[in-house]
Order: sequence, then C-alpha cells, then structure tokens
Amino acid sequence: MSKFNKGWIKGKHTFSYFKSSKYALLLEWKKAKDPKTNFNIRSCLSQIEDTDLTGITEMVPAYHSAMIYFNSRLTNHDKLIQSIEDLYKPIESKDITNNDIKIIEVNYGFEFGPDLDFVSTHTGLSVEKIIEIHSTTIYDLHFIGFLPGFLYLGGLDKRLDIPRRATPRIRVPSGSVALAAGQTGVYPSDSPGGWHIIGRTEQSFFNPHLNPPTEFEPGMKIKFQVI
Amino acid sequence: MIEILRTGSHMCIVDRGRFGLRKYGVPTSGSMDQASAAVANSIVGNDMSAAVLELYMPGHQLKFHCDTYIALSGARTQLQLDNRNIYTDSIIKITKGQVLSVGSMTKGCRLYLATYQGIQTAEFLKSKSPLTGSYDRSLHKGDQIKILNHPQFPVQKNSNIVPIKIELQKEITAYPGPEWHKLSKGDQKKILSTTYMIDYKSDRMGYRLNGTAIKGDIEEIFSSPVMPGTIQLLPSGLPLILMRDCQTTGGYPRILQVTESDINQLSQRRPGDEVNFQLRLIDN
Repeated sequence: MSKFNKGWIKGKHTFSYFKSSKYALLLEWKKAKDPKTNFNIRSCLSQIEDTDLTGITEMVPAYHSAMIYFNSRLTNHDKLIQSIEDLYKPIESKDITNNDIKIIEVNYGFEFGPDLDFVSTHTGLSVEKIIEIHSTTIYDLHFIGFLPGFLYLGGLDKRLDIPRRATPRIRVPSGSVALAAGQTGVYPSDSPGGWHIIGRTEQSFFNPHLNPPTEFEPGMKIKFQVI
Repeated sequence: MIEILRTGSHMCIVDRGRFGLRKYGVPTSGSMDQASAAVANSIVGNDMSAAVLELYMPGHQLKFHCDTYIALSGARTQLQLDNRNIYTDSIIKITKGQVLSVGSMTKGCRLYLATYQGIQTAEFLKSKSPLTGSYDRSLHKGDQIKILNHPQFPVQKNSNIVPIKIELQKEITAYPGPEWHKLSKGDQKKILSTTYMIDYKSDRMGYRLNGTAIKGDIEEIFSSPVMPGTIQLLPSGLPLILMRDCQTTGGYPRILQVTESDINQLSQRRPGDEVNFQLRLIDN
C-alpha cells in the first residue's frame, strides 16, 4: 500500500495539492479558520479566475482549502498544478480590505431562541451577556457550504464555544441563528440540525429564482444586530 | 403529458445536474446513474442534457396522454405497457391512453425513462434536477408531467449505444482520499477487506454502510469540499458514501473517492446489497 503514499504534492507556494478525483484538484493551506488563510484562498482563486485557465468548471472554497473542478477532456491535474504554480503571486492582505459590514437583524431568545437558557447554563454567562457578545462581534464570511446559502463564519468569541447538542433536532426552522463547536451561523432553510438555537432572522440567504442565488460571498464582514 | 397513477419508493425528474453553483452550497444533484440516463436519452435521439424520469424501486404506474416514443434504461425491470410486456434499452411506441407499469426489478434499482426532447418542466438554477431541502421536487400520485407529443419515429444521433452492465458483486474502485493517509495501515487494510452492507437509511444524498467498524481514532477535519463519490469516515468507524444530492462541504475525514463509473454502479445497488472497495491509484 506504500506506493499510494500520502498523495499530497508540495509546490513552491504556501498550499499543497491533492488529486481528489479524475476531475477535481484540491488545494489546502495550513491554518484553518484564519482570516489570513481566508484572504489567501480568495486571492488565489481570483488570480486563477482572471487567468481564465482552460477546462476549469467551478471552484469551491472552504476554511483552509479549495476544490477546483475541471473538465478532464480539456485539462488535467498536472497541467493545472503547473499553471497555478506559475500564475499565483502572493499578495499582502492589506492590499485588499473589504470594510463593508453586512448587518443581519436577529430576534434573540424566547420562542426564537429556545436554547439560549441552555447556552447560559453551559457557559455561565447571563442571557444578556451572550446576546451582547454575539451581536457585537464582527464575523468573517469564510465560505458558503453544507446547505444552499449556509454561511461559515469565523470569529466567534471563545466564551461562546460549546459542544453540539447531544441529539440533533429533526427540524430547525429556516432563519434560526445558532452556535456550536466554536462556530455560529444561520440555517438558510428548514433542515435537521445539531446546533444550539439562540435567535431567528428574517434575512433571506438563498433564493433559487435569482442568479447568483445569494447576495453573500466569501470575504464579507457580517454583524448580527438585536431588534 | 404523463399522469402519475402510482409511485413506488421514489420518483423524480433529473438531468445531468446543476453545475457552477457549489460555491453557494448548491449540490450538483442529477441522475444517480448518469450512464443509464444517457443511454435512455440516446435511444430516443435526445441530447445528453435532456431531463428524464428517475424511477426508484418497483411499483410505479404512469399514464400517457399523448402519442410519443419513449425508452427506458437502467435496472433490469419487468415492464408492462397495458397488458403487453416491453423491454428496456429499446424504442417503445406509445399511443395516447396507454399505461406503463413498472414491475419487479431483478437487477439494479433505478430505471430511467426518456421521452422525445426530454421532460418539459421548468428549470431551477439552470437545471431540472431536484434541489434538496425546501426545494424538494419528488413526484407523487396525481402529478402531471409535461412531455412533447411526437408521433414520428425518433432519429438516433448515436448508433453506438451500450447499456451499462450492472454488476452487483463487483468491487467498487476508489481513489485514496485526502485523509486516507491518516488511517493506520491496519485500518486501511481492514476497510479494503470488509464486506459492507448498504443500510436502509440510504438515499440520493448518501449511502450508509453497515459492517465491521474500524476502531482507529481519526479526528474530524475543518469543513472542506466533498463531492458525489466521496467516502467519509463517520465517528462510528463506518464509511458513508456521498451520492448525487450530497452537500458541497463536510467535516468528516475523506478516506476514499469512488470513481465516476462506479458511482453509477453504486446507484444500482439498494439497501441490503453488499459493497467491497478496491483501491486504485489516480493517474492522469
């Protein structure tokens, strides 16, 4: 089995490559959930996009990685790796800063946040303090994944880091603002879920009748606001 | 128009899938067995992008309200048009009022029905395939599906039509996933020598597998991209194979990646069927 080795390819840049399937190439950076990594991923993908490499069909970023999907009749892993090695120029994150903050209005607690008391007991913080911490933090939108329009946000205050629910709920209502496992986010549609629900928003995160179907994109700053 | 008189386990309209939207969290979806859907489309002279009906397991009954030609491909199935036996992988002439009954599936579990120029339903984000969550488009008894009236014999564009050979015992080939190397050699060996059984909680999103769980501790990863065919290792020590409606990113270790043609093979396996994996090195 040793001939399969680890399969990771290191180039001259800060990320490594992995041939994930016949038509997918994975790029992975070292540090996850890090604003600098998130900036580097966005910068790398936008440089690839600007170069208009043959055969790329879509690129999907995540916390510390990005999948490049391609048409295997038009290109292959090695050609893509070579092109990316050549075209990518690391840039300082201060060169591009997005100061726009997208506000999401939230009804915290009561019937909208059935787990707020649980979070209070678990963290030892008062309900008021939890709401204050959650709604004064400015979050980085790292990427969209899991469900259509689900935002992966970075920057949750460590005091609000609590484990997932022991038993996931079968149905979490659309718009539920929740937290667990060091993360916070909003359920964009009714779905099963294991996070603790602390509030609800009317904000729409995904509309299948629009293209693009969401107004959110990685790199945005997000802030929750009490209404 | 096709009227649904009865559905079996599940029926939906599918095409090749929804691409270019994964960065918004939108699954690619599309036909579970892309090869069989393509064969059905070829027989009636359609482009590969035409929408077809995906019929899962037996028990469906459809009534045609126009004259047309259809083709069925995929699971080996006992089919009746009114009281006459008909067969997969051939052109079938339909006269207005006839009823198609989908009987037992002796091999495989997904059958594709192609009609002249495809099912005429509205597109949703550039595709006619289902979108999970609140946008589910499963079909039910009483639903009416728009198709084109086409009394002429269709012209096949591709004369080289080979139906897929469904092989329920064959090993499923898979490439090593990004986290494969984090498993001990012993656990890798165990996964490749275990005969798993597809669990009843399996659907278009993913197949859960039962069998001997590995005990090795391999930590969760930071959410990272996944795709149809990605095999994740669940905390229970058992693998989960992601299928066509799977999410775009996930946090369980990605131990293997099923080859494209074997995703089609897996799509023809049903709960209770066995799965063995064979490792293949990726090359260009």
